[in-house]
Amino acid sequence: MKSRGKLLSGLFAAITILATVVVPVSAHAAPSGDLIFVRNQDFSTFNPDLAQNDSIFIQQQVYEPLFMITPDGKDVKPWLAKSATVGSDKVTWTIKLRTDVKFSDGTPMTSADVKFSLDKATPGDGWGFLNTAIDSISTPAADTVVIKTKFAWAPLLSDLACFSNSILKNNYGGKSADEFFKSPIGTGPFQLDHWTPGTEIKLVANKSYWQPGKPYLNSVTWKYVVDDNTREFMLKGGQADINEEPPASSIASLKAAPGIKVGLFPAAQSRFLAFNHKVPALADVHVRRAISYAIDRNALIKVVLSGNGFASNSILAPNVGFYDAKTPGIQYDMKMAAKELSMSKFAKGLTLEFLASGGSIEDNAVASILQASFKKLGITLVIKTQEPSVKRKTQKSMEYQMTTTGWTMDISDPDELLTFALSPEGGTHAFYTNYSNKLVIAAVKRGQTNVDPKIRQAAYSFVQKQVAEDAMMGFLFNAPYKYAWRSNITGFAVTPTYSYHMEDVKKG
Amino acid sequence: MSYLTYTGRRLIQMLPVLFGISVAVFTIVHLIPGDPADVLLGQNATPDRIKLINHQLGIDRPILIQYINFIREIFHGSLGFSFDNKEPVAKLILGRLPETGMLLTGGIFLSILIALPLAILAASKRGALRDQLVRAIPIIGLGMPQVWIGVMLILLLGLKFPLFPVSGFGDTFLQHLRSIFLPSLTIAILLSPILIRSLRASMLEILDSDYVLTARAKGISQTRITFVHVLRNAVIASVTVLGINIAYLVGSLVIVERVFVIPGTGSLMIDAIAKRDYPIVQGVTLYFALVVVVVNLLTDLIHAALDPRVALK
Repeated sequence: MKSRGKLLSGLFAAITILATVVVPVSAHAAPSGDLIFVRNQDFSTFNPDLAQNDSIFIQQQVYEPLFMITPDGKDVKPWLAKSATVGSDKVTWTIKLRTDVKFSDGTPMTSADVKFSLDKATPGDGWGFLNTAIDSISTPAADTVVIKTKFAWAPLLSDLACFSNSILKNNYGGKSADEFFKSPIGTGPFQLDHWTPGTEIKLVANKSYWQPGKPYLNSVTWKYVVDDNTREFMLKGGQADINEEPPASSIASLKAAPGIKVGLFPAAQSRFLAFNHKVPALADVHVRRAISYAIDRNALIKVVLSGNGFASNSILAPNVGFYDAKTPGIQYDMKMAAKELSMSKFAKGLTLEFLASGGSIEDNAVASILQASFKKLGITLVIKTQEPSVKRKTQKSMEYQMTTTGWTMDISDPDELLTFALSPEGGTHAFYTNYSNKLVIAAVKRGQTNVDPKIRQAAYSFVQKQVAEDAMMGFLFNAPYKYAWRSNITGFAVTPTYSYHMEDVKKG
Repeated sequence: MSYLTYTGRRLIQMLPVLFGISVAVFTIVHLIPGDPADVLLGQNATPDRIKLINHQLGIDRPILIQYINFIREIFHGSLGFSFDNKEPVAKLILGRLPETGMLLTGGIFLSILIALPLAILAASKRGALRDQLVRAIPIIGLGMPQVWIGVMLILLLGLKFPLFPVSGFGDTFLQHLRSIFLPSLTIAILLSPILIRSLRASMLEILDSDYVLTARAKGISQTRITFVHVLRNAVIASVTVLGINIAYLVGSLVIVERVFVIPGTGSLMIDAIAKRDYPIVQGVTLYFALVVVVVNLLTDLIHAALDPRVALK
């Protein structure tokens, strides 16, 4: 008995020692699990300046910015940077960098890499407009970057958090830009394994990643599968782990499917009914307001989103910084629509044209709903259908009367959308509407150039109120990002600015 | 005329055909509505940026200059460069050929495998129940859209009884074979009704011929008559039918590849159309046209080889 007792206590001691040794090891366990995404977009580039939705989310796993958008989408937090302070001149920003960050080739990230990346991004053809306020970048120390702006520029940290300002290796690691973007080096949790255009792109864990113990996954593959049914079959059949943007009509059946989880993530994206203010009838604010009142948004949400969404009341989505819930965004009210029309110069009726995108469920729904409401108001609606890219061209050349359009925020600061949509500096004739309101333009400028959040909130609340009252566009709805995944996947979440942190995802 | 001379003459005759196709392809592609730069840059691209990219892509040049450049790239062997990823189009097509080739071969093989026994069964007793049943297959088969057939096969053999992958092409040769089974079967379901009908009709015609009557009179068994004397001759007519339908199948491949996520030339074509990647659309269309022309030539040559009555002129 005594020897058995000794044996047991020996065994217990051995287990205790093993546990103390093993636990720290398992805390830094090697990445495991190969995750497969299916999506209807084909990855196209590792060049951040040229990235569109097809490439942004994947690039974000390879490259990282100095600041990261917070999970609520309304602010940023330090990421590759440790801190940022703005001087009393309001134009000198000192950014301290983390010193433990390494690129996927094992070399440390320094201020030289940051300067190179931001210098490259600033005059960029694609997203360079975000950095127009940057005057100069200097590197007084390996862990310090000083950015001088041309004028006080409040959105700077939000701009730096955009994927287009991701930190790449200095001088492309001695390669040409084309060579570098074929085999990119970043500080992100994953690095490129292979990319077969038109088929798939696979990333594998970056062993030099700076966040201890992450990523949890060994690899992530994004497969390009256009057919909605096939993506759903692949998910249900276990050939895929995450299905990106399943159709709204399939959400209910996916929710009921065993072993499948569905996520509807709040999105900083909005859909609008754009008016061409050059058209005499639509230059009349009462006509625009009448149309905005005549949109049955709930019916639209039911048809287009199968009920998964909510009516929009502002040019900003609720997940964007400085959104004002009290904005008097026009909602469905046929009595008010009739009243507004009676106050216009077109009280006796008019004919308007709606430009629809061929095959678009949304455009068909908007057209039908508008037609039904317009009939009651004495407005004749003519529907013109064009192929999607032709429709965009028609819209941009201002040869339309009314059409649908939309926006997804890429940064947490409202400046990106408000400059694009309301300011002449956006270069888009106010989102191709030709809307112009000097007070609104001045308020947008005030929001840009004041770092005081109170002043900014006041400016942006005014902008939202005025734009809503002017019925610059008809605010339609805010739709969530839709994802479905197998129940053994944990930690997957999508931010309102449409990105995900795959370093936090596990496959059980 | 010798076989070699005939082949040479037919190959030379292909040149003006291909030239005509190149003009037609180029013209049609440029009639597709939409702007490549607009598609490349996305919805929020400014008009100035679109103009710049269109200039870089060379699509703001006169249409004749663009056509001459297209022909020059054909002779260089590159077929032009993709607007999207800047790769030579010929390289992109060659990279997708194994998938399309395997799919087409698999489809034809399964079609023959289905058509042969059913046609023999039907022809073995004209008007009997089995003949009526087999004759009903083409009517049903030809009425089903390939997308629907593909989806039904996935539901049945991919999900309900998970014997085959739902999609993809796999990494190893064995995985390729497993992966292309369902898409090949989809093609076979589309193609075999035509083959069954043609083969059955040919067999019935031959079964009524004098030499079959003679063979029967000589006491040769029905099995030998069917396989040696009837089927061998009936197949000759079906080769032509198969050849013509392979040309049509090239169009079906585009849809089947999409449903089953096979990264072949059909998928390449669809993606290129969506992206307004003119060089790829032109290159793949030219390649498809070439396939059709070559298949027609091969059909004629095989027909001539199988049937000595056919003269090469």
